[in-house]
Amino acid sequence: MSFIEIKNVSFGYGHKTPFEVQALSDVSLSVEKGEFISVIGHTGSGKSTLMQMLNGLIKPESGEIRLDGKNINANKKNISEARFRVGLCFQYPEYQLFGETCYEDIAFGPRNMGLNEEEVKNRVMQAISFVRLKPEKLQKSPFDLSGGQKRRCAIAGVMAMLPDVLILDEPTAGLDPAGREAILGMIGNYHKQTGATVIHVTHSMEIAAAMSERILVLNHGTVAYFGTPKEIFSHGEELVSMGLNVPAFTKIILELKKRGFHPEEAYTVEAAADQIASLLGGGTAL
Amino acid sequence: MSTQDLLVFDNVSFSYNEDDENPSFAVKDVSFSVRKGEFLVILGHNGSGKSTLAKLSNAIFIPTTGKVFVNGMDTSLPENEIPVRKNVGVVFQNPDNQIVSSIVEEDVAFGPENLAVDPKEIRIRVDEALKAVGMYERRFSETHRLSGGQKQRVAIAGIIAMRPGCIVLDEPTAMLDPKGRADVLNTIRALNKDHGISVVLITHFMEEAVYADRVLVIDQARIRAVGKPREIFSQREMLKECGLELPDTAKLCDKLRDRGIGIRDDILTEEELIAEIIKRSGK
Amino acid sequence: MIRDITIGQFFPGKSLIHKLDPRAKILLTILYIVSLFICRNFFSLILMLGFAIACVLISAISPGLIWKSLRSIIFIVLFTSALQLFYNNDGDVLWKPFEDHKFCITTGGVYSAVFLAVRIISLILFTSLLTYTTSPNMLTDAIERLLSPLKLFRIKVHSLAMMMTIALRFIPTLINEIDIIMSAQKARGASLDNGSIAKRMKAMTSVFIPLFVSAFRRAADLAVAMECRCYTDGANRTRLKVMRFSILDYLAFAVVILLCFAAIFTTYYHFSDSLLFKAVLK
Repeated sequence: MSFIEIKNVSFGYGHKTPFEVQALSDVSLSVEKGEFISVIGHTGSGKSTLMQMLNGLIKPESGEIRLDGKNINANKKNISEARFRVGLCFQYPEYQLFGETCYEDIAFGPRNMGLNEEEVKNRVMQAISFVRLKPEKLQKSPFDLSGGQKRRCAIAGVMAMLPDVLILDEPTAGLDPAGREAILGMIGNYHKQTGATVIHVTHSMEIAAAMSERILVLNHGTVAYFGTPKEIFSHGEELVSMGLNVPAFTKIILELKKRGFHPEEAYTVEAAADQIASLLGGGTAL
Repeated sequence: MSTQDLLVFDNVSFSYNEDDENPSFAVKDVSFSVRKGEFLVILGHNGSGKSTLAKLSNAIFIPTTGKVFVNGMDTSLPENEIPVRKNVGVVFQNPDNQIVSSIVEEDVAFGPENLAVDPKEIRIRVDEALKAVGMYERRFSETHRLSGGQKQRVAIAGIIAMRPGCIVLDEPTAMLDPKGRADVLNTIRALNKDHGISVVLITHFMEEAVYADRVLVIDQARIRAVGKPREIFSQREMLKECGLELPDTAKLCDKLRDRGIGIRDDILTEEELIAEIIKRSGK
Repeated sequence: MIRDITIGQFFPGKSLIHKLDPRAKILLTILYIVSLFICRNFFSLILMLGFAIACVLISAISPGLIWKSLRSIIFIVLFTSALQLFYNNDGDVLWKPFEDHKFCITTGGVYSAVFLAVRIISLILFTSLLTYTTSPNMLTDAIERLLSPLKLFRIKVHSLAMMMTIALRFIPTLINEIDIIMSAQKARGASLDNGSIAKRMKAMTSVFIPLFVSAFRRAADLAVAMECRCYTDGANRTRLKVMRFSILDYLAFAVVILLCFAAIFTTYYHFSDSLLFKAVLK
C-alpha cells in the first residue's frame, strides 16, 4: 500500500449558485513515502483543492484519502493527526504571519501539537536551520523582516512541525531569481534531511523537471498525466494545448520535429542542447 | 531635453529617510528619458530600487535631489500634480489593491470621473479602454470574480481611460499565473504598438524585456546599463551580478555555444533560434 | 463555505426594474415600506405582496436567489410570528392548554401572526429586489445624490459615498482573505472550531492579526492607486452614468403612489376582512 492514497475523489464549489465550479472529478492517485512530487496545472485546475484535501482542510464530497493506511476523514482523531503529519504551506505564506516575534510565530505549530517548551525550542531551531534564518532574527517582529526573510520565516513555521508530507503551494511566487533559488534550495534540504514526502505546486515545468521524481499534471479537475519528468515531457504538444508554461527548449524541440528533424525529448536545458548539438553535428559539452 | 521626451529623470536621487545622518538611497543619481511611443523596460532584482522609480514618475514621490519632468512639467510643483498624473499613469503589482469599484466599467471610469470628463466622453473612453485590453465583454462583471490577469487588464484600462501619453507598470505580472502573464504582456505590447502609448515596464523577468526598444538595468539604486535588448542580453556577467536570470532561449544558446556551436550572440526569441538552427543544419 | 454568501449582491440584467433610476428605486422602496405599514388588513396586505411578487417576476431574478435571501430571515419571521401568536389574546379562544393559566391561542393571535409574517416577507422581497437589481456603486451614487442637500450643513456626503463604494468593493476580497488565513492557521493546528474558549480565542488572534495587517496594507496601496488616478477630494467629479428620471421612473412613481392609495383605501374603507378571516378559521 502507498503512503498517500487518493481514491475517486470529487469536489465542487458553489453548488446551486450561478458560479458553480467542479474543482475535482474522480481523481485517483498514490504517492510513495519520501517521494518528491511536483504538481502542475493552470489556475482552476483543482490543484489547490486537492492540496487542501491532503490534510483534511477540505473533505471530499465523494471518494476517500488515506494517509499511511488510515482514512484521514474517518474521525476527529484521524483529521487532527493528518493536520500535523501533512504540513501545508499556502501561497504567499508571509501574509499569515502574526507572532509578536519570529520565534513565537514559528513555535505556533509545534505548540498546537502539544509539545513541551523544550521540544518546541528544538523544533524552532531546527526549522530556522532548514530555511537559513539567522538565530538573532528570532527575537525580531516578523513584520520587520525583509520580504524574502518573511517568506522564509513563514515556511519555517510549517517545517517546525516536521511533517511527514510537506506541501508547498507556489512557494516562489513573486520572488526574483535569487529569492527563488534560495527557497528551492531550502525545500531540497528539508526533503534530504528528513526523508519526508514533498509535494511542490509550481507553474514552472523546468523547476518541476529539475527537482522532482514524478510530476502530476492536473487539467480541469482531472489527472492529465502523472509520471517521471521524461514521460511528462514526451507529451509536449498536449501540455502546450493545455495552456501550460512549457520551457522554451521544449517548444523549440517540438518545432524542430514539425520541420522534419528527429530530436529526442529533453526535459533539461542540458539535454536539449545535447540533442540540438547532435542535429547540427556539434560535440557534447566542452 | 527634446520635445519628443514624455518623461525625463534628471539626476534623480530619492531617500526614504533623508533627514537621517546617513540617509540610504533607494534611487541614486538616475537620469534617463522616455521618448514618445517608446517601449522601455527597467530590469532589476527585488530591492534594487526599481519600484521607487514608478512612484517618482508621477509625483507620488518627489525626488530628494534632481528633477522629474513630465511633458516638461516639473513634478515637484504642487500645481503640476494632476496634469502629471493624467499624463503618466502607473499600474502596480497587486491587481486587487488598485481596483476601486465592484463593477468593471465603473472602475475604468474612475480616472476620467476624477478628471471631470463629460459623461458622454467617459462612456467613449471606457469602452475604448476596455476594448484595448480585451475586457469589453466583461464590462458588467464584478471585479472580484475576475482572474488575476483579468483584474490587471482592468487596472490597465483604468489608466488608459485617462488618455495618458505614458504608462508605467511596476511588476504587473509578478503575482499572475503564466496565462495571466502572457495576456497582460500581450496587452501591454498592443497598447504600445497599436495605440502608440509609451510604456515603461518595470520587472525582474528578463524574458519580458525581449520586445523592448530599450532596456535599463538597475542595481543598488543606480543605473548599471542601458541599451537595446540584444546589447544588454549579451552582457552575461553584468546581468548575473545584478541578480538577473537569462531567459530560457538565451540559456539554451549559451549551452549550445558550450558545445562548440557558434550560435549568433544576438538571438533573443524562440523563433530566431529555430531559424538559426535550421539555417545551420543546411536543410 | 464562507464564499457562498449572496446577500446584498447585485445580479446584472436588462429588465424594466434594472432600468429604473436608482434614486427612484430607493424612493419607491421607502414609499413601499411606508405603504406596507399603513396596511391594517389582509385586502391591502395581499395587494402589497402581490405587487412585490409582480416586481420580482418583472425583474427576472431567478426564484432560487430570492428563496436564498428569504431563507436567511425565516427564523426572524417565525420568531416574531410566534410572539404574536402567544401575546395577542384578542378574539375567540382557539386553544387553552392550561386551565388555571391565562396562556391561550386566539383567533386574534393567529391573525396577527400570519399578518406579520406576510408583512415581513413582502418587505424582504421588495427591499432585496433593490440590491439585486442595482449595482452597489449605483446605489451609493444614488444615496450620495439624494443626500446632497446635506452639503449645506458641511457634511462630506461624497467622502461617505466613496467610503461605502470601497467597503463594498473590498468585502468579497476580505472574506476570501479570511478564508485563506483560517485554512492556513488550521493547517498549523490552530483550534479555530474546536477546543476550549481560551484556546479558540488564542487561535483567533492568529487570524485577526494577519487580517488587519493585510487590510492596512491594502488600504495604503489603494490610496496610492487612487492618487495615481487623479483622485483628490472628489468635489468636482463627473460620473459615467448620468442619473436622469425617465418616463419609466415617472410611471413607476405613479404605480406605487396608486398602490399606496389603494392600501389606504382598503385599510380604512374595508374592515370586514378580519371577520372574513375568522369565518375561514371556524
